Amino acid sequence: MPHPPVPALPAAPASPRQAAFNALKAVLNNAEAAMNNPANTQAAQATARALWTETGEQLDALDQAQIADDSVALQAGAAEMTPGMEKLKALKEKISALGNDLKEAASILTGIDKAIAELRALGPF
Amino acid sequence: MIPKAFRRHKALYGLFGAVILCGLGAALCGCTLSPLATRAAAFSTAATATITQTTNAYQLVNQAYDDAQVAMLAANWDTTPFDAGKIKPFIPAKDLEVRTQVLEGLKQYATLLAEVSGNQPITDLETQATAAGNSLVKLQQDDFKGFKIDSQEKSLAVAAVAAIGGVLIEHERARALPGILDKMDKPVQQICKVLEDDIGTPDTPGLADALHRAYDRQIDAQKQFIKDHGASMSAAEKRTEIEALPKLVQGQRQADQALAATAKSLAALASAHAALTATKSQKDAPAFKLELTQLVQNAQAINGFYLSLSTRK
Repeated sequence: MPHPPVPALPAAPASPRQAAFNALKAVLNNAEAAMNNPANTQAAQATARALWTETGEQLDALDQAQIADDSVALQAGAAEMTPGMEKLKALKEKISALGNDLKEAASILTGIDKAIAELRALGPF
Repeated sequence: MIPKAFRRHKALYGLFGAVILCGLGAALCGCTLSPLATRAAAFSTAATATITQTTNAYQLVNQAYDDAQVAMLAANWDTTPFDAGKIKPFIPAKDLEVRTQVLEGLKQYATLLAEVSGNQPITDLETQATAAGNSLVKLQQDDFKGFKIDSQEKSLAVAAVAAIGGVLIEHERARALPGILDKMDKPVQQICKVLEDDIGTPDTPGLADALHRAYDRQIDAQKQFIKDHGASMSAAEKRTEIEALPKLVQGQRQADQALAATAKSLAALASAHAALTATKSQKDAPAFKLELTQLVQNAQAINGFYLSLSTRK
């Protein structure tokens, strides 16, 4: 017996911010159409322009609220990077240490060489 | 009976023989970078380019917003009093600082990956081994008769030490890098997704909408300026002001495309890191190569957009 079709999940509702954004965009577009419509009186165009400007400022505020929320999320993500970064730095130091051991050996050998040269300069004991 | 000097040299050559064999073995399995290290280095290069372009996107938004403020100020000068408090960048300083720091963190991660994965640690090791070898040769031969070493022997020893060091480095990488990539994937995915959504589109709250409307305001202010002052302009002046309009429209289109490409590039960066992590134990990784190719193409596209915008100004 064939399975009944699985009902599709309903689409996720738009966030409250997105809903407000859509509503403001509709007002903005209407205001823009009115202010650019030559059939409207100059007074009507000026009123539409004022509405367009004010709605734009409200949209700016919504964009900035989104940016502020994103800042919080970014800080949380950055904090989560810290343990991995520490491990990566430790790996880099471990790898560097291999070279540093050889550097130390070279420096000791050079030191011995210089010490012998200085002792010889003092003459026979 | 074997002469004493010959016995001494024989022992020395035996020692070097053993070291050289170790070195050759090591060289065979260790001197070339592992596939994971090669991919990590490639990811790092592409990521750095994407991060740089993302920083440019923030500058573009703030610049367009500033330009819109100035254009509206000029257009409305006679009707609207000047308010110095309204002149400010679109992205608040504290939010810009967060993005700068997060991008700097991602860049540091990419750079560290490159440093750890690349050839530099092995080159450094070779440099130090050479320095140690030179010091051995410099030791006063009279005082160390039992430990005489010529430059040829030194070169062999240095090569062997460097090769063994290369194997040790590769071993450390192979042991630690996969775990680090696993640990970093979640925050990298999270950060890239937030940065992508932060840009958004002109139809969602975020930077792309702000940028698109900043151009709308500039276009409207320009139209208003021509309408209000066109009658008092000369024909040439009027022509210049009118010519600015299509340039603004074209600028808006390009700016929209630049931000869309930046968002796409951030998504590709996340995918490339996921592919890098998923293929950490694979010798060949075609999926990663595909992701990286896309990432590099996107970064180049963004670079082209920003370059064209900056040369237009």
